Amino acid sequence: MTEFTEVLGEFENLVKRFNTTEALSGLSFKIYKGINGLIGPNGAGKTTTIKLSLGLIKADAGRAEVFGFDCWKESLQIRRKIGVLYEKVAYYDHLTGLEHLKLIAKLKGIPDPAAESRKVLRLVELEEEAYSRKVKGYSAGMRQRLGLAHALLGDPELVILDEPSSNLDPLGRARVIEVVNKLKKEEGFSFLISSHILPELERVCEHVVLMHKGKAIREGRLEQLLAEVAPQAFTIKAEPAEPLIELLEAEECVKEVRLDGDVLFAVVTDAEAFKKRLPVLVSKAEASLEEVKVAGRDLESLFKVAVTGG
Amino acid sequence: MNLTLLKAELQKVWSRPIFELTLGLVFLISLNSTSTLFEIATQSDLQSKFSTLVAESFVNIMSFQMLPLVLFCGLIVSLSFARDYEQGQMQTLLSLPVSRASLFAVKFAAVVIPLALVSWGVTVFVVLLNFSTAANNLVVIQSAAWALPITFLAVMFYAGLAVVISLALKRTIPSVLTTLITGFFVSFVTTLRVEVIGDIANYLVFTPYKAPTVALGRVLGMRYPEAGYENALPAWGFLVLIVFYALLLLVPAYLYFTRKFEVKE
Repeated sequence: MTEFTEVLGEFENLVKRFNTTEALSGLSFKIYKGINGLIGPNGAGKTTTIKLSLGLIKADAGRAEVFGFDCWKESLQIRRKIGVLYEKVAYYDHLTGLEHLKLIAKLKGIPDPAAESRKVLRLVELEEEAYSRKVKGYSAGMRQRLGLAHALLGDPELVILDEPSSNLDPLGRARVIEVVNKLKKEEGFSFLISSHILPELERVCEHVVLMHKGKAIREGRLEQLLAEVAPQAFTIKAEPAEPLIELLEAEECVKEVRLDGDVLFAVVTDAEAFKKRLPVLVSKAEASLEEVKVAGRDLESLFKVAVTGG
Repeated sequence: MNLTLLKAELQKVWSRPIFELTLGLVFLISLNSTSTLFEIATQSDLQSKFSTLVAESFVNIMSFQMLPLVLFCGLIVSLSFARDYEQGQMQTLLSLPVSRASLFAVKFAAVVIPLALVSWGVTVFVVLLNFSTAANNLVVIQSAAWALPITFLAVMFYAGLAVVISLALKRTIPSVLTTLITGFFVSFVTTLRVEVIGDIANYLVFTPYKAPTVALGRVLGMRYPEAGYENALPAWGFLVLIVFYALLLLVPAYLYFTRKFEVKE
């Protein structure tokens, strides 16, 4: 297991406004050597954070450093050590995949661009026949893999992947995750992966930062954070659900209740008290209890608990 | 300047059919602008009036080319800056270990250099067609030598204007439309005569649209009416003026791009 001792990046009280919208409102977290996950719903500020770390935007307030360099003033030094794959993949479409990578390798000052380009293409397992095909003819999956190869050129010290599988089908997603896992194990790359598709991050991330409304609401080792969730959240299936929601909301030991489809998700402060009170409340609501489960030890539950401030 | 990146940008910006369209239109307009002159030249004493005719030919072609240059410049700069921003290419490039100054220079040069060379090359070619027996004549060579930097400076002004519009609007279609409308407006204004707008019309020779052709005429020794405002400045004065215009919008655009520009979307 990776020991999170080597800090690659540090963000402190970052604030960023776009007109009247506050994209980041006091964001603080660290990036460690290993696989870091930046988790949050759309609009949480993940992409803004990534752009800020590469000097594409400037923070209105706060401190942002990667590899000890200021993200805005010294972004060139940071960009020399980072590879990035954005959600919006845009390249020189008139070039072939191999030509594109050779160009980027030259720009990165890599001594043998052709050899390095072929190496990363093999790493991401892009079919060899695609090397000589123009990028504009690539499928979404191939573009994503080319993007990953682009990010891996020159063995960067940190690879940033912004929603790496949002444009892919489930098979494509699984493949990206496989590749990331393999690169971490076999090549020792460090990653910062942002995503709102939580199950995929759960499979690779070691250190996670949960973002919500421009803030980091939880940060830590994934295993440790997940261990905190289980006793705090329950899923309940009851019919009818509405009267039970009202009663649960009035309970002291219940922090929040939310209806997800036909399942109630309850975040509690005292699991034992909740277990004792639930049958009483169900009967009071004249509902029939179909199922009660401790919420899974997964990122989705962790995120729901964290958002409610549990 | 990063030559590897410049090559890639040149290939992208001038891909089909942009280059072919630019070359074709500039060539057609240049040919059209010289027909009258050709007839006069053939009927006159060519040797005695040769210098004047060559100078007039250069100035006339350049003057006719100005509108297509303005329009193509706006279009191509918008495609290079605003479209790249919109499609995400700008953030990809700005995430590479390439300085912003270098990226700006590459993107600017990728538009200005070919456009100026096309304009200048077509001008020289058409002049040589007209005066085919004089290909080695010193007058033609001298005129061509002056026309090159002046064309560059003229294109630089319009490219600077288009960059400012593209960086401000950050959207391809609005940038293209705004630069085209601005180009047409500037062209239209310079066609206004004294009878319509009074004495102000005389000052139009100092505008970025007219000043390059006047500068070229003056350095090539063309004679303008004695009372004309073309004579208000010495030849070098007009050259200084077009250098000033070339940098007028380019410098703020460069400073903004290298110090303040953000990729927000």
